Amino acid sequence: MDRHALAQKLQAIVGTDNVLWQDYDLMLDQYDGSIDKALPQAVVFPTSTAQVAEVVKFCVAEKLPCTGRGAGTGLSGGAIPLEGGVLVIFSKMDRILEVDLENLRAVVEPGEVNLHLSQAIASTGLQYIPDPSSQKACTIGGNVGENSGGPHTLLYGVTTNHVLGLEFVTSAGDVIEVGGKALDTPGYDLTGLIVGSEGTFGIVTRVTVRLSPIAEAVKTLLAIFERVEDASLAVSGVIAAGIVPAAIEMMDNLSIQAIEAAVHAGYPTDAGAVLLIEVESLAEGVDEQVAAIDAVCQHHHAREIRIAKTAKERNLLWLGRKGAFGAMGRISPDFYTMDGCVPRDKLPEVLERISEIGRRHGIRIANVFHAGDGNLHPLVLFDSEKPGDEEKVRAMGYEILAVCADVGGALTGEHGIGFEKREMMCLTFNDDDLDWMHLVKETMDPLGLFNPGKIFPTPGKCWNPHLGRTGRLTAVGW
Amino acid sequence: MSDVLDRTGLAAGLESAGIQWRELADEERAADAVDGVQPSAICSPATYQEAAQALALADRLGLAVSPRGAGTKVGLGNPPRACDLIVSTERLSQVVDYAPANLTVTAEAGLTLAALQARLAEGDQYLAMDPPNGGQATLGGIIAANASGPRRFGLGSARDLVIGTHVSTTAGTVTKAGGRVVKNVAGYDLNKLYIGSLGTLVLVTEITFKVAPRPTAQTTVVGRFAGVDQLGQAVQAIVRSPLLPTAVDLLNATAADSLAVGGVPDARGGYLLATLGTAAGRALRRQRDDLWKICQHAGATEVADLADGESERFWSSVAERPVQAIGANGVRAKIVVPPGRVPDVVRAIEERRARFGDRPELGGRAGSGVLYLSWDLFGAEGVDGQASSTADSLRELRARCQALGGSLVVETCPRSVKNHLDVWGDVGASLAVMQRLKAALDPRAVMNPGRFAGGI
Repeated sequence: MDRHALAQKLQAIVGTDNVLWQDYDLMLDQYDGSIDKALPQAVVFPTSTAQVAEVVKFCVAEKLPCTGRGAGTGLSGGAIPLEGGVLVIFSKMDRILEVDLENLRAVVEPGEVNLHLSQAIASTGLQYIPDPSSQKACTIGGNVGENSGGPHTLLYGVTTNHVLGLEFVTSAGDVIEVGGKALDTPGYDLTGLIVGSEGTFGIVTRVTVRLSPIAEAVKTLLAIFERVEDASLAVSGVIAAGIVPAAIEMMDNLSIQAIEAAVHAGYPTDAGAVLLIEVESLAEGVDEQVAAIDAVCQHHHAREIRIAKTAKERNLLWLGRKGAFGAMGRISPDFYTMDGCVPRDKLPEVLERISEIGRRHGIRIANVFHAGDGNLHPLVLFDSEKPGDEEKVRAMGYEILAVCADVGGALTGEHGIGFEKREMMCLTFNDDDLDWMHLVKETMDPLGLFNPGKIFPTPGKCWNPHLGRTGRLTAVGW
Repeated sequence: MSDVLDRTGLAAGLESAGIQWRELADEERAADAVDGVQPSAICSPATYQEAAQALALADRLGLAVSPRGAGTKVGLGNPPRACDLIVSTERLSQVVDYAPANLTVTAEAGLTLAALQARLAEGDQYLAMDPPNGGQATLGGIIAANASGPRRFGLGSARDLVIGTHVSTTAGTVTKAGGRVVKNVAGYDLNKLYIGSLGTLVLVTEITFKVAPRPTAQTTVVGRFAGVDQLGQAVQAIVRSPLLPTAVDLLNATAADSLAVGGVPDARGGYLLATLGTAAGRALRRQRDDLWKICQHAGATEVADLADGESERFWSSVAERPVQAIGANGVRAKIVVPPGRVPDVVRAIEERRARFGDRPELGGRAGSGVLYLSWDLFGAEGVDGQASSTADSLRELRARCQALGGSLVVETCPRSVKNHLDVWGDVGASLAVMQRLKAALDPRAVMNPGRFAGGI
């Protein structure tokens, strides 16, 4: 089917105004926050679940790839339509459908912007907890796809801990409800399986989330260290002291330089590293926690500890952290965001090994990350105009994640495998692990149409499938 | 040698794989039966690989496997279509890796929760799970049944605390999902699929949990309410406050009267609402004071508080109530509704009170919307004589719970009641997806066939 004919078919489902198919329109949605891109054949903007189901049925009938997309802020190539096909964008399904205060739940459409939910309910004293750094733009649907995190997941958990139910269009185009406002729905926990499946099973059209009370008191402190090692040891020290802050974020010298050039958060540019630590609890509790954290940081040679005295000071400290990725433009033409997770007590060793990788390749690496979770975000600074840089950066990405895997860590803490890291899956998963996961993929999406090319390595390279299509699953039809 | 062992080659297969096993004597078969379906043999693999071999053998021979930890949840689920071989996790009971500085622990499925807690206590930490049968239950059984206790309100349930698993599959493989770090989105979160799957997909052999620092002190405030409306108001005030309690439980008078703990108000035919605070330092007193005020403001006729040791004993006792409430002919239903609907459920049960035995016990997680209703079947017509009417009562109450946006699962009941009732209830249109997953991961229905929802 040529593209114009395809567009006409899709227009019949979602309406004339809700389809893009011309080259110059499609180019807007060929990328995300990572460094890869691919063009869809058409983009649709459905306005209802029924339309999504029809689009899915159409794609299945035509054997066209079908990929859901939120705001395109992802960092692993998760929403890039690698094999073309139809890109389903949820900017017209962005409503908060219900705020149910009595049950501490909200029901939203997938295109609803993360931050808008907490803003909309702020006056009720409740909030939606997961807060990715892109929360001003990223959507709940995208968060569900990637099981996104954020700085405050240290105390409260990630997206999967706050999503209790989904409306889901299966790869056969059936609309099903999984989970709901009540916990422990009988049967398999399909909600938990679908969250974080990166759109490879079908399309989520509605999300039921848990709302939580806003903490009564918040204290934010900035601990300034001469050396990264000391800052890392302070992180382990805080955890070992039995304190679980809401967030512990680390920024190294290079990040601080970029942040100060861009947003003037007041971080000292000569520091080796800073820790941004936030505690939340009852008013009576925060001061005691701050005092305990202060003592641990002092013990690890913090040269200065600043405690935000006002909301304005606190916001300024966070402005630096939340603006860190954007600030990298001040010190580098391009940057590549990595996302590994390591046991917290391995942080000093891992940061040193990452720094060594940078030195060896002659490429700078800035570190801005969720230290309390051991969730690293090395930012590899490069210049895409410079021949060879991009290849070098990809090689470094592999080496960095190999270090994470080597110390018992994970390839991604919150950004997803996507396209970017699929060939690295073998660093932590063997053939049997991947076969088993792929069996689930084939079960949920027998034709392999949903967000194809993601998560799994190219067969035959590092992964040699021996279960699946040829064996166990042949008897199972939809 | 029994027919199954001999005819199918199970004995020879287990022998040649070097897996420890034995044939069950007649009286053991009766004791190890699942809803009366008697197994022929039990094997006890010593490694994940041996467990996978045992499952693959059963798969090849077309036999049914029932995984077994401590056996505390053997009554959960519908009667199995078959049960030939019990695969016990008794020899898989090691702590694999405890990393206090990372707040994680990895242990084998056959380890008891109590043994794990003892180990974690050495590091001043604990696993924030307090399901019933806390002394005997194994980690694998707790995960398979998605068992939980009072602390789930503040600290989450298995789906929040499990970050990695190793499983043995009927394909004969040992596979893992997740890992040993607290944030991990690499690959599918199959952990979620296994939690609560009642051993119908795989045998979970190893589990990695997030653990937490042990609270240094605790306080429990118990309010006595004459009616459920006031209690409901108190619950709403508590769960929407910034007090962040760890547990918010209700107990009806039968449940309250059964607690052997001092310092608790007498329910006097009403209800108790118990809230656990575990904040540190001065915040603990604040939790206690505010919880008192909330109870009083909502109309509690009496309020008391329990400190440390007394509080701990209270919650241990509350956690065990669901299993201690009933005898051999007991019925226990787990009722889950959106948390704000708890008063409606309590009223629905009160209205039908006469149908649930002499003094039905009702208690559970008022803040989470997870309640347990228990009663014993006895009377002139005998247990079997009441089976049909009991099933009718459960079905009717289930319909009411479903109308409130929830579910009712019969966790325990006499086999005769199960003849009249699907203990899980209808799971809706998502059943087709669940059946597909079952068919893919366990195509010959080796694992606990028939015990799960929708005939899985």
